[in-house]
This record gives sequence, structure tokens and C-alpha cells, in this order.
Amino acid sequence: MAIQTILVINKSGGLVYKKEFLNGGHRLTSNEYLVLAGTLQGVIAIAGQLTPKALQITKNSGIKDVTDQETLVAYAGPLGILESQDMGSFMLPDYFTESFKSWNTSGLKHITTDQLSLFVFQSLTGVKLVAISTQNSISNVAVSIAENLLRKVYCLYADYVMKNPFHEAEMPIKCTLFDKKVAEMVSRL
Amino acid sequence: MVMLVFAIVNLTNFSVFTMPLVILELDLTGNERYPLMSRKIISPSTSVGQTSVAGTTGYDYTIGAQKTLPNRQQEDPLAAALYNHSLHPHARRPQVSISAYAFLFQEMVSLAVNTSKSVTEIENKLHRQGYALGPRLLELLNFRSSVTATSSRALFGKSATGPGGLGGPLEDSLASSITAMRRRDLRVLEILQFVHGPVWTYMFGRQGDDLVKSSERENEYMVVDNLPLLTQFIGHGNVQCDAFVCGIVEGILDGASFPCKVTAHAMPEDQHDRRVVYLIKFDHEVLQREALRF
Repeated sequence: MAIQTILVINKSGGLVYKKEFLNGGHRLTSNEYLVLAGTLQGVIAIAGQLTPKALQITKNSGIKDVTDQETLVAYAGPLGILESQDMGSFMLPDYFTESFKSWNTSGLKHITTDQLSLFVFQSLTGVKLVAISTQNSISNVAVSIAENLLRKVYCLYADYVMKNPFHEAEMPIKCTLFDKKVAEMVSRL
Repeated sequence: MVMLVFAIVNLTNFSVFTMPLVILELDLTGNERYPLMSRKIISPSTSVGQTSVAGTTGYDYTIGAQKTLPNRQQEDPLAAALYNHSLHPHARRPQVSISAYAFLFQEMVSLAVNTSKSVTEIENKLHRQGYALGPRLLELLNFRSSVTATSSRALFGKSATGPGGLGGPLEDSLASSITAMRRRDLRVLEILQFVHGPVWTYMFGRQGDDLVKSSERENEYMVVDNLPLLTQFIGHGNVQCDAFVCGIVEGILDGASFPCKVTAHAMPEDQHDRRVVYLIKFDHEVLQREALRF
């Protein structure tokens, strides 16, 4: 899976971070990326509304049922995390080593076209991380790997963006360390 | 307060009211100074609080009113334990959540940024905050290095067998078991090794990565840190947030009578892109003093 782009969209639908990893090919302009971010935000909101009422009620009332098992995302291995890496505020050997519950229960998760696939990871605070890959993958494994990767990017976001006193909330991310760490992680995939 | 109670008793002649009020009065006089702030909670169940019956004061639901000595010093065993343990270098490895540490530091920087007009002002503010820590650290770490292995065993070996791991009143203080304080550092190199070793270990959990003497200037020394713990999430921007650590180091050196100026410089190397060099520039009187002996 070759990651083409990673985006971070804040809770109000603004694009706060954009990083392209592949050179060549057709590239979107920054304006088009802004439009993409806004559109995704809208689609995610609409998808949330489309969720059957019964599911919404079960979710809100916190009733645990069999479907809970299905929302767990399996841990997909280290994904290029090295043994002796500087993990920031996380403990070795990895940012997390267990399967985790997806917070994206009623929104858009995954778009596949012939050319590429787009994966969305949603955090509890409303931050959305988007990965665009150059493969058209429809398997569940690819989705879970992408979610693992994006969760790791989210961990990096928690460390290198949120702990940076010069970053303003909801504003474009201009943290060189975050930039570097994300690039490192994607290049090791 | 007691007088007020009596007044009410006199005013109300109903026996129904006087009974509880008398008990209330007993309760008030039973405790010495802060009757309503007593730490002992009167619990309705006899199974709770049975262990501390001997040390209680005042009214106890399960026993009844007790006589207590006035002005008796009541020692909080927890507080005593805290003082002992935090001062002791081997008792346990003190660990702080790095996230909490980072967020706290972030707020310090944000405060400095929001109240300053220039980069220099921000750095000066951080520097000043760190400087206040220096003299205290110097004392504390000297005290800790004075604790020898035998004296620590005298305290913690015995108390480990005692109830709850607390020593008796004689063993409560670590100070009594220290026979000699560590010798004060008088040479430039000694105090720098102290900064590079114990101070760094105390603050960041590991020694400084290097200690270098400038080849160009006589009075300049450098402590090198390959990955500064405090600023590891911040990176090198316009503002040098390591000014806080500079302040601490300067405070320690000033407190030890080595007046100096400490500045931080980001000097990335191939392996360590966040390497920071703390440049220590001693005043000339330090060098003069250094030259006087020998």
C-alpha cells in the first residue's frame, strides 16, 4: 500500500495539515484539497445521519451487544516502527499493541475507486485523519491496516502538535517535528 | 462557640433540644483546636476505623466521649512518610508522566509567550522561572548524595519490617542518620560534573551526553544533551525553550558561587537532530579564584 497523501481535518471541516508523499502523477492544488476536506466533512455528517435509528439508539444508550466485537479494529503489527525508536511520550515497543475500538461508528470510513482508496480515521474530539493510497483495496485487512496507520499518526499528532506551545488549536499545523515524524513513519511502511 | 450553645440551652427549655446540644458541646470541647475540621470521621459502622482507635481524639460514635491531652501534637504518618521517601535516592525511582510534564511546560511557555512582546522577553521569563529552582536543587541533591548506603539501610532496613513500612519516631528522619554532608564543590570541573551527572539524572533520568571545554575561550564550558526531555515535542523554533533549563543550571552554579551566564544553542548533528548545547560562560572572578590555588 503506497500512501499518497495524509490529511488532517479539524472538527469544523477545515484542512489543517496536508502532506504528499509521492511525486509525479496528477496532483491536487491546495485549493482543491480544501474543497476535498470540506466535502468529506459534509459527507461524514450526512453518513452519520443516514445511520439507522436503531443503531444510533444502541450506541447512545451504551448497550453492549454482539456488534461491539465487530467495531474493534485489530492491531496490524508495528507498521515500520523500529525497535530503538524515540517514541515520545509512548512506551516501547509501539504506540499501542492491542486491537482498539473504532470511534468512527456512524460516518464515512473508506472510499474505493479504480485509481485509489481513501481511508478516514475519526478521533473522539472530532479530528479526522485521512489517508489516500494508490491502490484500490476493498479488503477488510487493508482498511484495518489503514486505520492502524492513521491511529499512529494520531498518536504523533497528540505528541508533536498538541504538546507544542506554538500550535494554536484548530489552526493549520506548522510543526516541523510532526512533519518529520509522519514522513518517517510513512517512508518505513 | 460554647457560650453560644449555652445561651441557646438557656433560651430553650425543652428537654428535647437540650440533649443533643449537650452532646454537641462535648464534641466541641473534646477536640483541641479545630473541632469542626477534625480529620476523624465519625462512622456509624464499627468495622470501619477500628484500627486507629488508639490515636483518636474527641467524640467517637463507637466508644463515646474520650479525654484527650490538650495541645498534643498529632503527626500525620503519611506526611512523614512522604518527606522520608522523596528525600531518599534509592527508596524508589520517582517517575513523572512525561505527558503531564510536557503539558505543564507547554503552559509555562504559553504564559510566557502571551505576556511577552519579544523573543528575548519570553526566554528571559523561562530563564527566571528555572533560576528559582537552581539553589533548591543544589541543596537537595547535595543532601541526597550525602546519604550513604549504611545510613539508608539503618532507616529503610528497619522500617521495612515495621507496620506499614513506617519507622518509629526515632527513625523518621533521614537527617539523623547522615554522618557527614558531602563536601561542597569548589573547583569548576567538580561543579560541572555535578551538573552533568546528578542534576541531569534528577531532572531527566539520565546523564548529560557530553561535557566539553571550549578550546577557544578559557571560561567557556558546554554541557551537551542529544535529546532534551522538556523540549522534545517542541523542536527548534524561533524561541529557545531550553532557556528554562539554562535558568536551572545558572541558578545551581550561582548558588554554588560560580557566577556565570548560561545559554542554550541548538546544534543538530547527523544522528541527533535535536541536540542542544548549553554554553556556560563563567565570570572572570571564577577563573581568578581557580588560578589562586595551586
